[in-house]
Amino acid sequence: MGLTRREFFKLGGGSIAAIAGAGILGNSLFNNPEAPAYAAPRIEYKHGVCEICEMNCAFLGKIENGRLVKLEGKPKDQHSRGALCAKGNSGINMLYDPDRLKAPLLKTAPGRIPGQDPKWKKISWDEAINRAASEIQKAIEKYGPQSVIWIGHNKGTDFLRAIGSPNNINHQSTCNAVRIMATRITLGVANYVPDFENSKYILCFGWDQLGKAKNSLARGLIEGKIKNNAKVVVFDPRFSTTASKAHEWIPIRPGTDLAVVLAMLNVIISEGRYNADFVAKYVEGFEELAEEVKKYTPEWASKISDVPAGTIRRIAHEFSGGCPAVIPIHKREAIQVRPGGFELARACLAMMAITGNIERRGGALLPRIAPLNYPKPKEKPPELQVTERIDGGHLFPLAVPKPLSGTGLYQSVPDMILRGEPYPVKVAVVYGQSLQSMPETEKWLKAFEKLDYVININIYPDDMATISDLVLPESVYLETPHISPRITNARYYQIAVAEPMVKKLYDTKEVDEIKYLLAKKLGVDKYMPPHGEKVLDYKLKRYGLTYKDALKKGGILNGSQKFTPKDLTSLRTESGKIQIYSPKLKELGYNPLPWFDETWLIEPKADDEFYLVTSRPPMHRHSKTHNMRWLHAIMPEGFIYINAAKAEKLGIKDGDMVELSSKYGKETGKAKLIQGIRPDTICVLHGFGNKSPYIKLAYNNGPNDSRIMPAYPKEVNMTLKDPVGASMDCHVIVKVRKV
Amino acid sequence: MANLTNLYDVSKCTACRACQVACKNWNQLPAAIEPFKGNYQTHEDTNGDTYTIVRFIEHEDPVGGVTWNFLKYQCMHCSDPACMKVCPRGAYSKTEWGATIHDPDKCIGCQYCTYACPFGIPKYREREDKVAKCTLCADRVEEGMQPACAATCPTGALKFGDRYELLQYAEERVNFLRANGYPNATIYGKLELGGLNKIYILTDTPDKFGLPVDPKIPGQIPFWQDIVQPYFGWLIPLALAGSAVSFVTTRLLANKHKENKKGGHE
Repeated sequence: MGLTRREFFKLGGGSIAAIAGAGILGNSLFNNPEAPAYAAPRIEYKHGVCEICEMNCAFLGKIENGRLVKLEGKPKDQHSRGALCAKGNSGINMLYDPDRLKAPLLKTAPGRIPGQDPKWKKISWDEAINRAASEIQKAIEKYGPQSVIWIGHNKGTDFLRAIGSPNNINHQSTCNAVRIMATRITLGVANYVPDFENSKYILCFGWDQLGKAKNSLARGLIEGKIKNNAKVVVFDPRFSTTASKAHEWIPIRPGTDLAVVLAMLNVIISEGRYNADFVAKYVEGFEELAEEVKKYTPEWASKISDVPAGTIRRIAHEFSGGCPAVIPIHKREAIQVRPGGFELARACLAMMAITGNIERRGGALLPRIAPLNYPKPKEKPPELQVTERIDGGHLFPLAVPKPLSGTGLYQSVPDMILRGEPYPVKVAVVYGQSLQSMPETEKWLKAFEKLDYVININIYPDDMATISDLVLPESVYLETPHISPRITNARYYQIAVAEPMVKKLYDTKEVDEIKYLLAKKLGVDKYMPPHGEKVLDYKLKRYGLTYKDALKKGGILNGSQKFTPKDLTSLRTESGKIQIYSPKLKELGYNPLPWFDETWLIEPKADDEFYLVTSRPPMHRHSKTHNMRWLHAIMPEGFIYINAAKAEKLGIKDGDMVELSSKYGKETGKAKLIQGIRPDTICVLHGFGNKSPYIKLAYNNGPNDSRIMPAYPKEVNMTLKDPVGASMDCHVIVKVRKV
Repeated sequence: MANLTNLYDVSKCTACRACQVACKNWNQLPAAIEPFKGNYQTHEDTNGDTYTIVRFIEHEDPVGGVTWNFLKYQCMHCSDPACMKVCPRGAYSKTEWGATIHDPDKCIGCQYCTYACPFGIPKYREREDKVAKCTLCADRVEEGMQPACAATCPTGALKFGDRYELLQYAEERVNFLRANGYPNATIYGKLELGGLNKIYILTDTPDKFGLPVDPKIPGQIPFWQDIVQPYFGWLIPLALAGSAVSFVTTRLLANKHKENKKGGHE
């Protein structure tokens, strides 16, 4: 060995001491033979769970002299398997971000213009809670509890219940509502696990989790392709990362995937290529489906989608060839963003069902989600007086079965606030949402303008914070404990447990505590479930373990990893079997089978008009990671993909500033010319476009795709016969012009 | 320790950039914030604070259609590294198991290595007036861990281990790729420059990934390394002695000249 361990650390391979040492030695020509003696650093390791995305990868945090220095994935975690993504790896950037919110802030300047100086005044938590509670109280007294809404990640349900408002506005209609509802109708669960590793045929419709770096899904697809030699076919208007790794890329016309899937169902059924045995045992509604898809011929689908009929037939043949085959569905991609998304998700499920690929190795597995005990409030809150929701959720009983539950219609809110329908809204609590997540941003801003008070619970002083009257600083996930069952892509039962890596750096609080303090001030804390450290043990009670025990066991609790197929005749569907024909949908006035309506389609007419698709880069998570230094350095700005040949015709060069305009708004950004996108389609990277100068790195970081997207009021969803209230963000034609 | 190598399989890489960030995190390197290039790849090259990058290469081929390739780029840990040959202070060394490491304490920031490296890897770090580059995480490896990039690679495109075993694995992969749609698949780093401690499994020829097809060390380097450098320690005393001699001799000559002049006048 050339060097001793000590010398290695001296080399600057990873210790602060080495860097400091080099500084002290400066430019000295001659080496100092005696390195200065440093006290050995005090090193601890702690169990963590990443909260940057919903996968919640488990990791070990290395703490050196009280400072968190490195996150390392845990090999036993089914999601990370020891490997964190770029976002997970840069967690310390968020924790030690100098731009973080450090205390409650009160806006003293008038107006709600994103990025404008709010003339913030630092106030104490006592004062902040007092002010927030008194504004809520004022609204409740004058306009009723329904005038208070909570916009955010389903975190406000208990608080709203306690004060008596039905307005749990959650973002899911712009995210995963379609997949949840379609899977619930068909399989009785909210999601399914694509078993890529054992699959032989992977068929993707816009699915690009390789390009978005969801570790367990990206790893799965690569392993399936390489270890199992699975064929990968990708339908996507853009040559995505997943398409670049696929055997076949089919640049389909945006919004027409459903036609192709229905035609494939037609081929599989009419040629008798379905798994008759499986269908007879486990599928409900096959006869009706066979009748319905008769009209969807490959020739018909070909005219709509630009995919040759022969290709549709061949892929249908390959998919139904008897090998394990799967169609992954994650969130927005092709499913959520256009009319007919719900039908597309159901048609994909139907295709896997009739080929016998449900709950079978290499197909779609039912998720194995470990249950937890959730604490209940001391006293049951009184029944809601008003059950009509501002977003119109009550009109979509499939999506919102009970007030406060389900997914809702996020995008419908601004219109309803502006119209004052069905009643006025006065106070909004906004949690974990940014202006980048609000389609037709200008309309949302007008709606916010109309509100009396906006309370924002946030980590960063982003543009949402600058338009809010009161900003309450939330702690970062590395400062708080967590118990996280695997929910998305849960292959086997597993719970990850995390402890705070470091003490809270600033005067911040967890959202649960903020809600509780507000409820207490309003005198309704008896209706709130307990929160904080004391519920950690309770959550794990059914496993006979305490939170501390779980940490001692390595922070990961595993169920059996052996695959035992579940019974497909006792699903939580209407018939207990796989439900393709749904009487419930019929009863609600919708088509009980997956179907297609050509009025859903839109088409660019002029040369400068385009379809819109969106994507996300792998090192950013929507809008929340843009101020993290290492990630910002890799991608500091968003851009717009345009087909190179088409751009030349329009006189647009690589890097040119272009203006995107639609019926709903305008936005400018830099063009990136690529070969791998349809000439009639542009792709905008999502999550960029922050206008707050108080998060310095993320300031002015490119185009915000939401500004050109529609925010349809609930009536549009009804006209389009959409049972789940999907946002349909990409149901828009965009004009592109060089500026 | 056996000969250890970091293998990188292009066909598995999804360009998620986890390796790039894990490298920053382990080596505690600051973010190198550069102006936006309108591209997926903001850093065109590695720099003094960025030891590894992922390159993006888009091709349009009339037959094969569009391809989009990614390539992780960092120090190749040559078995006979040019940087080590040219360094006048002996700041570079090879570990017994294969890493080429650079000792910043010995570095004088002369940057000869940055010109000598056929891969353009060592980069000047201005804030310290020194050169810096990938260490193959020698400090982790010596502790029985994997390099930070390999440990964090979600799809297993990076694998760290015994060079011989990894070469066998690479042969298998390349054969598989050749039979499955990539007729030009090849291994890079097996023979190049006498073998690198970094093996690439490529889906196409190296030039398609911007790698030098036949990397060479500039011709004068072996001369420097083999003839001049061993006597480097003698150079300063020699030079001092030379200047002393020249000082004395010029003085003597001058005096003589003066005398002559004097004599001439008289």
